[in-house]
Amino acid sequence: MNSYKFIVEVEDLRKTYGNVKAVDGVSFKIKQGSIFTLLGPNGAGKTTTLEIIEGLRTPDSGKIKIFGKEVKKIGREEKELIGVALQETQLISHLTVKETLSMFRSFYSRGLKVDDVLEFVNLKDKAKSHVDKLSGGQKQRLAIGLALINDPLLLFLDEPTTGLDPQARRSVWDLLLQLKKQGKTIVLTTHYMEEAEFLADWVCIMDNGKIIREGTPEDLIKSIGGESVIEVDVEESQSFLNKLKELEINYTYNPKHGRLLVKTNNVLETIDSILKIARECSVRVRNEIIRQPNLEDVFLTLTGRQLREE
Amino acid sequence: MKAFLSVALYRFKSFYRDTFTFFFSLILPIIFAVIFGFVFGGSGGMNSGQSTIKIGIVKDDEILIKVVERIEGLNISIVKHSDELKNLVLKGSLDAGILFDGKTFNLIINFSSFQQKPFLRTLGDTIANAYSLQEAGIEEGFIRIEEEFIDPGKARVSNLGYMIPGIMSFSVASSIFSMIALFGYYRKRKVLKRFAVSPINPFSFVLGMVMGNFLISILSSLFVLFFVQIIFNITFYISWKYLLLSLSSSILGMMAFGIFLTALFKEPQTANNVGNLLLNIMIFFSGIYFPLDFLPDYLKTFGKILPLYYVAKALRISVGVEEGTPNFIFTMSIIMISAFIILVSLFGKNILQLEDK
Repeated sequence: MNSYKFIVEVEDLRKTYGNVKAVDGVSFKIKQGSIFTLLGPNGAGKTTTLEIIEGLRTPDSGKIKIFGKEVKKIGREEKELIGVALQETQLISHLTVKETLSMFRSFYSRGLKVDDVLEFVNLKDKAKSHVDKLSGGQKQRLAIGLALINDPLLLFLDEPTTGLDPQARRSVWDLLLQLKKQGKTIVLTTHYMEEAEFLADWVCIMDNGKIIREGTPEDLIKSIGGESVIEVDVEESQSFLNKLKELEINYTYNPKHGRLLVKTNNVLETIDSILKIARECSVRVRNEIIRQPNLEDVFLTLTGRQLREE
Repeated sequence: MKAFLSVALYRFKSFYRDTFTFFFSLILPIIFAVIFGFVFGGSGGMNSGQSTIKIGIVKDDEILIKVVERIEGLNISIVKHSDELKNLVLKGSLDAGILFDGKTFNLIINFSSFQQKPFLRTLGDTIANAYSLQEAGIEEGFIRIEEEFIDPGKARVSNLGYMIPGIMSFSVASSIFSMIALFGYYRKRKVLKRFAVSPINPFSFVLGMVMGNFLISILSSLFVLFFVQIIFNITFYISWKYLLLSLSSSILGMMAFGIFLTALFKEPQTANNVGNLLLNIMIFFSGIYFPLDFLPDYLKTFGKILPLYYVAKALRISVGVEEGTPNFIFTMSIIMISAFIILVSLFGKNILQLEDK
């Protein structure tokens, strides 16, 4: 392999399906040894972008440089060095966890011992279980195990924690941090802002096929201002919303969830004002939260929508 | 090579652990064989003894009774009236009935018995000739009817024995569906996607999967062959060399056809339906379950352009129930293997290209 500064470089990547621009001029660079995250709602173009780099899809245009080598579509040589955990990993039924890992291990010229991988993903006691019998978290850990079987330099993980309970999600996060410590580069897609905040060194926020902002999680949050965020549940009321406008505060109201988000530097005064107009309009206000801004707020500021709305 | 062997091994393992698929691939042909075995008279071996033909004659025709009694292999029942005779034939109690009005012989045959025993037609002629000779004063000696199978091959077998290679070829033709089930449904369930991101060569993957299923199909066909020999006391004169060549090449040919259908139709259900339709046409026109002689000439010709006709024929030759030359088997095998190579070369490389348009 050639020497390279960035392990992956993507320039003006485009992919259209009919009238839908799934990926619309995406460019980014990934540093070796980092956790790079594509954050965005469902349908933002994260998976399509990732699958183009993984060689599952062919771009309409754009450049991909992987391991310092420009490729139209990655070949066997690059596949030997990458590991992929798909958004939904489906495997051959009636094979055991160990057999599945052994089969995929045989496709690579180099890699780890199956038992070591089983131990790393904490599936040693499930080695003889059929893959169909695994729980969601165990399946996800097996998917990561399969991605690791060739001891790759670069890992692509497409929404590795979607559908998992908090405990299982946390266990996957721990695995990913261990992998980062081993020097592996991880490319992650997620629509969980907590995941991106917790794991990522660099975040690209995607929406409608485009990268709308990128940076470290801290820089992205700082970019929308250091104000606190007040979240409250409010019944929908036109008079309340009209009066809210008169307050001249920076707010977003999601009628679907009845959730009001207000960014402010003056928390107490703002809460007082909201409660006052709520009383005037006979509107119930519940579940008040005061917190620091996060990536969810960054997305909200940039798009006017919440990540989880989608 | 390592990847190919690994895919083949694990495909085979996943198969024999899958009760449903295992049942349909191995047990279903056996069930077919058992059903046909009972339909065609259970013990199918010629070793089990000569069968007799039950003939009915109206009691007032004494000369006819005398003539028919001299013919060996017939079991004669004397009935009172022609109506009773027709009724017994209709019910299947008699294979045939004979009525003679002094000028014309009427041979009464139930159509379903006629399908099973087509030689009943010639029986009428024989009895008429015997009657004429009796009238001419020639009573004894050379007029005999024996139910004798003129064996086209070396094995002396009954209808069932002749049909078993057909059931095996049904099993062979089912390989079409094994490929649709594998590649079509694996694609739909996104199983192939995991392989597509690995560095496995698509041909190693396809051939590995094919090999796993190939072993299963061979075992299934041989299982049928051994099972019927034991259960129905049939003795085949098997040429293992030709049998394995015929079986292997036809299974590969049929699998390639399945791969072709999978490549042609993105929806596995559509591929399955088309495969089913073609399989039924092939079975119907390939002389597997009934002789093609019943069909009009143009349909016989149609049957002869279908591959299953040749598969069944090659298998019959291989187990010794039909006369044939090794050249026939070689030619069929070369065509089937060529079809496999061509179709897998054309479509196999695309199996792991999964992009939706």
